[in-house]
Amino acid sequence: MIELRNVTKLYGTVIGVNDISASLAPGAYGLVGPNGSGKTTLLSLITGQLRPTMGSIRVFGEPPWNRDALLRTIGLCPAVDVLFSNVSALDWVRYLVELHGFGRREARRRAEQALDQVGMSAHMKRMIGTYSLGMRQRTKLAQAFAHDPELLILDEPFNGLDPIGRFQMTSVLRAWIRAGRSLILASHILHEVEAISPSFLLIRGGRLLASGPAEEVHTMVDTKTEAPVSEVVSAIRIRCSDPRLLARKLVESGLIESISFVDNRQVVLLATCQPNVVFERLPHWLDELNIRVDEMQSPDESLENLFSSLMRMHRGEVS
Amino acid sequence: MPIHDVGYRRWQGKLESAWVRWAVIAGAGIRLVWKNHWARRMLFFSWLPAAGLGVVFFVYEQALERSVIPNTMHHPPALTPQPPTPDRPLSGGGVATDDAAAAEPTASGAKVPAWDPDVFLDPNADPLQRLQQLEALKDVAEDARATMREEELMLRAEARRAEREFRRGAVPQLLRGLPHSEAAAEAWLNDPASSRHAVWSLLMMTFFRYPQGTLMVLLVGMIAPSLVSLDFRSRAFLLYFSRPITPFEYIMGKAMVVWCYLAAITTLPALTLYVLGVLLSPEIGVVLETWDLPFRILGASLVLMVPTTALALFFSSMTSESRYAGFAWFAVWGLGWAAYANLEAVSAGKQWSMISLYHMLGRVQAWVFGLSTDINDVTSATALLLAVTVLPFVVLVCRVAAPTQL
Amino acid sequence: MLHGALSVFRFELRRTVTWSRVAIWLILVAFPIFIVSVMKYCERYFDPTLAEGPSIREVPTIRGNDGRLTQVTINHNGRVRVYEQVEVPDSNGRLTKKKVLRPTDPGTETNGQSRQPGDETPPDNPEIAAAIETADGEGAFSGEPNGSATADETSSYQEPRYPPWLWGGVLFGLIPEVITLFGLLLWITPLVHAELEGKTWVFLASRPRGRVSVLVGKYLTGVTWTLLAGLVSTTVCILIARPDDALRFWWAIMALVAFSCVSYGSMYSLFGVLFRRRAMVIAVAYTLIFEFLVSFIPAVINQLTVQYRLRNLLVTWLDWRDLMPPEAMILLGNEPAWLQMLVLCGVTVVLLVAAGVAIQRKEYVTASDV
Repeated sequence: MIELRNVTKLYGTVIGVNDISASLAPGAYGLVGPNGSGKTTLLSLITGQLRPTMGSIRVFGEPPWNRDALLRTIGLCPAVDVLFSNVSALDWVRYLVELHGFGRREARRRAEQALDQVGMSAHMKRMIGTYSLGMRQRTKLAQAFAHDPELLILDEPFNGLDPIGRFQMTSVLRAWIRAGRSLILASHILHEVEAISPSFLLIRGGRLLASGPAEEVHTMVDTKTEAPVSEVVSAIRIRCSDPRLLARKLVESGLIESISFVDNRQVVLLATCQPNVVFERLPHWLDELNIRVDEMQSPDESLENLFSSLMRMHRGEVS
Repeated sequence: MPIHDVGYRRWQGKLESAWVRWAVIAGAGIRLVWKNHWARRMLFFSWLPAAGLGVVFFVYEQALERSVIPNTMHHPPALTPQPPTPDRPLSGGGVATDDAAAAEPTASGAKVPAWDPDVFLDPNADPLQRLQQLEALKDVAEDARATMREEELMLRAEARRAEREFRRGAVPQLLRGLPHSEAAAEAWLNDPASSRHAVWSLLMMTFFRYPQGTLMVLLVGMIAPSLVSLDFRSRAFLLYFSRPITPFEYIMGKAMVVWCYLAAITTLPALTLYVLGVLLSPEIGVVLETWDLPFRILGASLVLMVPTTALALFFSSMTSESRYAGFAWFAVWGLGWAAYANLEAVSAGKQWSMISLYHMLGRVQAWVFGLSTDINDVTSATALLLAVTVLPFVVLVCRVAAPTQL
Repeated sequence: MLHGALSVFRFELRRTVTWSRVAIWLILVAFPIFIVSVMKYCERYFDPTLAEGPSIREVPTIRGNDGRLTQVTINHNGRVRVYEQVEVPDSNGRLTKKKVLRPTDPGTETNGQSRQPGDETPPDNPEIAAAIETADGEGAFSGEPNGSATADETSSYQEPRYPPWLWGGVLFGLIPEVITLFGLLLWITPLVHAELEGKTWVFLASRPRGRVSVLVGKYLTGVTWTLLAGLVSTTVCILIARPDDALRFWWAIMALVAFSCVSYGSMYSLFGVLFRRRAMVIAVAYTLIFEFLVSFIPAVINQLTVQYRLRNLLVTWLDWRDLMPPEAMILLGNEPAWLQMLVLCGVTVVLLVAAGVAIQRKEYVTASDV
């Protein structure tokens, strides 16, 4: 689907991406990296917005620069915010669908359908300037797939979304993948990407550090020593009505690496390598034990740990 | 074991005065504009008119020197009395022979026949008669010399007068095409020696009005529209006003960015032009006659910079999209100029300059340079310029003080 | 591509109907109307001798043999006119000084006698000869007028009117030039910069033929808005000015507005594509230096400007060639109108194609890319 060969992009003396080579078959991929790592540049190269300074790139067998036929098969949801304040979501999405060559009626039908899929039916005739950030994000997603592309490219789609919004968007994307379409999702939050795509591309400083399935990434093994490079651990803080009871249940589940009490023993602080499983089961436990949760936070240090390990490995330092 | 305090500590140094906080904003803005290639190119080209006008200063000073001080080197060549030739009979008798081949060239290049007694005296006369003829010829020659001397003096005076008249007329001809040139042309015609101040003022005024006036519009149109509008668009005002910065300091900082670049294309080249004019003058004494011009240049710069900056920042503060601010800026100058040109063509009068900011500035600058001495002429223009300064400034302060209302 | 361009055109046309844009549009429309209104008000004070055009001979006001104040004008075509200053009662009964054209007396051929430029021989008409001979070099009318107008003069007196070429020159300068240029400056030059600044460029550029559609669509939008402004301005101005042959005037000015819109629009589109951030300043600088300075250089170079072509069309369509002095012809040209129109259309097509090629090949890097 996508073939990258020694792709480098320079902005003057600033390196956007640095000698990236990869071959991506049709499927779902997560492009993971901290801010400024080159994710947006790589996506711009894939969608034909930029030309590589060195190397070559092919999407569906063709270079993407100035390829109108190719652009019909790609849907892009960029990270930028939508700033058309005096246009409704319906008008805007319909306009963008028309640019793909659809007639006015067909474009309107598709726009309405896409906005309905992202849960914007009730608000699609209001001006975008009155939307919240989450509503604008959903509108952006709608315009990305309204024209039925084969490949969907999303850059930080969960920015500004509340947990419900994230859940809804995750559901939409999972349905997209189940329908057999391809997806590239760029984010700096590992577990969000992990919830959707089975394969990762880890990028930092413009370099592609690692790529592969999620389980391999979580437990990376140094090929020389066959020792684990790093185990990705997520931390979760939960303030609840009965921290001790919750802690007992968590320990019994076997999903946690460590657990402690902080903040005058009102908060449970746990570390786990399987945060998604914990999040999935947590509501059942809380309901079963009749525990009320006042606050829950998940400061994600897992990505930083992961990248630190990778950088050490690439620099030749043995962990 | 005593525990050391390694926590947060307040900085104990001395803070800079609040009076210079605007300089930080100005410095950042100036450096940002400096990165713009087009702005740098414009700064470079803004010095070319100064070089051109320096030549005009030189030409004027040379013309002044030739008109006031008679220069004997430029007189026509001295007339040499032509001795009688065979074709021209002498008053005392005797006929010259046709002897042009024997003529000797004089300093003027005219050929004079060589003295030959056999030619000018009767060869058949006796020596006493020949002596008498010689005495008579000497008297004739004396009379002719006196007459020719008078003729020569008269012709020299005529030539000098004609030359001065020509040179006197040339300078007003050159100046005639410039606006507000009446005073300078009249000063030259009355007494060239005392025209220097008027002519220098006129040339400085021309420098401000035409090349630098146009460059000012372009440069400010390039750098000013985004100064405030970009801060609104990017919410940078939150960063500014979360610090101890007042709206006035913010506006001063932004205004200084515009003033700095305006000074670089108007004030500095004008002062350099003045120095160039002094250096290209025949004597350093010109400074005594024109010592006030640098101050007038500063005054004209002030007249130019203050209202234009207030207007430009006002436009920038009215929108978060810089292109609208830029359009409004160009529209004020372009539409005003077009309105003045059309109305003045059908009904000449100074009242139309009130609708054109460019011409309003011109009237006040003419008064600053002393080319217009009628205070009534400039009062209304000054009042309008003050209004153009104060009202936009007030609105600008209101907009900056309440950016969250945007 | 046409479908995409039309989509962009429809979208932009609707999106740009905001209060601020409509206000700017109204200001542009109102500007020439204001100028023409003021001119119309000042018409009653117009000096009719100025309507003779540039005089080749400086014949000042003189007092003739019969004591009447007279001004003789001899224009570049050799036409002689004699004006007198009299006092004429206005609508309120107050006497005001007016210059009147001396009526042609049968047999005297006072007016209309032709003299060639540089002709120093005394004219046949003794009055004109006397008038010219007694010229005292005072310039404008001086002294008191020649008393009150006679009954014939009062009845035949007509308020001075601007000559047609004056109205034409003003309307040409204001509408196809000033208004059109400012309208295009606002709506066309920021065609790329506006999308980049608003961070909407990536949505358009990731569409098939999105870039060219944006170019053509925004070009059509800008031309439409400006053409509308020109249409309204021209119509109202002609209604106020009421020149002779008003309908022909209207057609000529509107056609010039149309040609000005499409040709300058294509030029500003190219600037907008090439100089995304400084397009407006570059467009202003180009217009000032090239279109308004170079176009008035009496040399071949002025034929490279759009201004030259438009001036030629104005003079041709309104039959003003005979009114123009010979030295002005190098600024106007002798080419036929169809050639000028062809050149303007050609320039438009070439510049639009160049802009299309440029927008397809250029990389527009946004802050989020770096």
